[in-house]
Amino acid sequence: MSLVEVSQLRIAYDEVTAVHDISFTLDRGKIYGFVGPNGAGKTSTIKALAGVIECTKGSIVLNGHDLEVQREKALRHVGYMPDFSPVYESLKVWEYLDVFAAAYGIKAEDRPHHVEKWLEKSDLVSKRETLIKGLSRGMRQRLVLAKTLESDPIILLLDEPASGLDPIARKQMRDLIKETATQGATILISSHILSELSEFVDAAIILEKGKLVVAGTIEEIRTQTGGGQTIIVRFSDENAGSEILRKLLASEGIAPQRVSQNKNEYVIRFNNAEEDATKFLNKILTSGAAIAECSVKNDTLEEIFLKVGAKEVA
Amino acid sequence: MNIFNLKNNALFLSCWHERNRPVQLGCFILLLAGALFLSFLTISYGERNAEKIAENFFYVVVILQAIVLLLIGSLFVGHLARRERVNETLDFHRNSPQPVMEKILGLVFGGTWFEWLLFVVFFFIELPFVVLKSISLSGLLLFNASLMMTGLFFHTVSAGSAIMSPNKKRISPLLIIFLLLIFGGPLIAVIFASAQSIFFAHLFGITASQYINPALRNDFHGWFYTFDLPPIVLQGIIQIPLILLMIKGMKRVFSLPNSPAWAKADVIRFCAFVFFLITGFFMSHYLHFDQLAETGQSYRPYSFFTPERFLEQSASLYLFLLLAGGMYVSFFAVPSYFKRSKYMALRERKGSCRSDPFNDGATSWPTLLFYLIIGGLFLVPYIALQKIALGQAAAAFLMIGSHVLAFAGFLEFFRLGRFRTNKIFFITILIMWWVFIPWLASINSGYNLEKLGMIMVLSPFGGFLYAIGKFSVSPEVNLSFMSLGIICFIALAMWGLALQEHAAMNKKVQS
Repeated sequence: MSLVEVSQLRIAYDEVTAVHDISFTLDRGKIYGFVGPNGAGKTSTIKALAGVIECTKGSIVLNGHDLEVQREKALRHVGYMPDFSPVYESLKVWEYLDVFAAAYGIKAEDRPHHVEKWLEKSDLVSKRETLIKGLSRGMRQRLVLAKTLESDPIILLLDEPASGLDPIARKQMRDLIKETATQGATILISSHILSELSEFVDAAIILEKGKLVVAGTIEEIRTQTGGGQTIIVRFSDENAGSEILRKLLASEGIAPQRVSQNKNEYVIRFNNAEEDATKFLNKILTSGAAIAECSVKNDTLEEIFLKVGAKEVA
Repeated sequence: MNIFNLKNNALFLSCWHERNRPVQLGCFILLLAGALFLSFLTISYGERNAEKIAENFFYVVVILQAIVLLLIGSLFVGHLARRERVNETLDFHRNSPQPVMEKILGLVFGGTWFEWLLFVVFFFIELPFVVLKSISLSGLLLFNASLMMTGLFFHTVSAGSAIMSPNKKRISPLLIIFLLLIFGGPLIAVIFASAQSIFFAHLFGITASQYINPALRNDFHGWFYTFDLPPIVLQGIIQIPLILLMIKGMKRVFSLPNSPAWAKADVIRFCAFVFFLITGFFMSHYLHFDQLAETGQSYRPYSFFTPERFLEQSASLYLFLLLAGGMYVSFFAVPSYFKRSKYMALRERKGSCRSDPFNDGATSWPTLLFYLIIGGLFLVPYIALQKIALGQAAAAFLMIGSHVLAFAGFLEFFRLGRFRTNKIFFITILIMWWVFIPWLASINSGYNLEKLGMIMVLSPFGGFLYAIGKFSVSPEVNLSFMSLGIICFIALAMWGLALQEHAAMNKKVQS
């Protein structure tokens, strides 16, 4: 079931049209990567979904409620974290969480326990009484993420949540996001760190210059964009590899996109031909050739993006 | 929604936590106690009459109560509301499901809870002073009620102005106007002394002072139109609609982030309200002119005027407000490119948006027409009292109206056209249109008064003088019908340009 339905969304500022008539849906319990270079319209789209800016055209339906018509109902279960950390510098860490717990209807008597729980989850217990102006950027990010998650949102919009976080904090953040998704929330997460995104997103939406390039699960995108697999084979004998490969490809009628060689290592690239790649892999492993090492690598989100981004829009 | 459930109000809590620091509160109380103590020492020196000393003590408490609530309270609430805008935490509150009214209450009272607490403390300190002959319990209660209303008004304006700022890095122009009014209000009152000083006195709650100081009782008459109203009622008539207007503005800031703070209908209501007040005070002053002159009120130099001069000056002021108000309304009524696009797109989506002339994205001319009709209606008492020929009055009104429409047309052309991102274009054209062309033409006219006058009407200032001329008992500026024709033609030309942009946008949205 779709929790978010975006239809023909256009966001035109006085100076520029940031988003051009994009449509997509987000399903319950899935994590979506929102990918695009700077100025692609990611932040504008997320802000429009969070009700922070209005759209010029199109409609946004959140959990069955039109944002334009039933604003309060639509935003009731939305958690939003912007690309920087809007905080009250002069509040203490626990006070900040307390304020936003109240904003999402958690009663005064339940809040102390609630705040403690989120201080622990975000690893900020030791900073409980610290003024926010004394926190590092990473800690602020963690605090804002905790604030976003503490309302138990079913639609979570995260704009560059990992920026400024150290590797340990990034892992904690990933775990928190995955945990939220397993509870049935839909998560839309934009990030420049595509290698990291591809580790835990179920699907992706790629934007470029305000236009939607491609959307779907990683597999679907890989198929749609002609993405594929890369098989790397290292033969024990440097001279034998070339001949074995040539024979194998000719006899089975397999036509890889590209074959490149570096001494005894061969990189065989298959675009949009998973069957061929599997067939080739089976054949080479059972061919009896002296293979020192063999590995298969699917295209990462980063590779897909680099491949399709500019080309599709142009 | 429970508006008194402040312990669950997020915006109230954010302000409460920030201000609820023992060191800050302690220092504040220490400073206040020091000021109170030193004031007591100062005023009691040299006094031998115990009643007089007690009275002076009372006034010190009252003054401090007013300073704490009105000045310090307004500064704090403005600071805390501005913090929401600068930090962009406002976006989180926009996004939160808390009812908008709760958010507004939290912002206004969260920033001032300590000042309200002190207000109550001061009230209890003042209570024993009712044993004095000059201070009655009813007077004290009315004074406090009046002060509360003014406090609420100041705090609402301060909070509203801070969050309505279109740019988070700059102070809102509204806030600057507000501060100018607070500190420059009395000065403005003196400038417009002959007509509006009572308005400012009520606006700033100065009228409250008469409840505790019998000597001031004659200074603030409660006349409004033909009614003799209690001062606190008049104060309410002025302040309460303005409080409601600010609340409406804040509601829109929370729920419609890219829209002007006030809807077109709100701006029209506000202008109608201002015209209603100004005309009301003008009529009451005109009708009671002799009595006012007899009382010799301190900052209203009526002794220099005759009723005729007063009437003429009031009419001039009204016409100036009609012109300036029209330009002010234009800024709200002319849609931005964003709003216009949205409006057109929604209209395309069947049933999503009806054709509403007061929609943020609708063209501005229906709003301005409405404004001019209301402005024209409130002009009637001036025409009737001054016994001006209808033709002359119509010419004056048409001149002001044409200037307003011409300005709005140009603004609409600018905001929807390709020059919209270059504000300097707008300013340059205005300077050329209002200053340079009349200037150049006046040089060419050889300073012939008749020709000069005809050219000067190109600018609204010249047009305003022309309109005054039509209103004067002995017109000093009397121009030909052609002048009026020129400015009507300019208004039409500007709207022609604006309509061209409408057509171009229509094409773009449909594509």
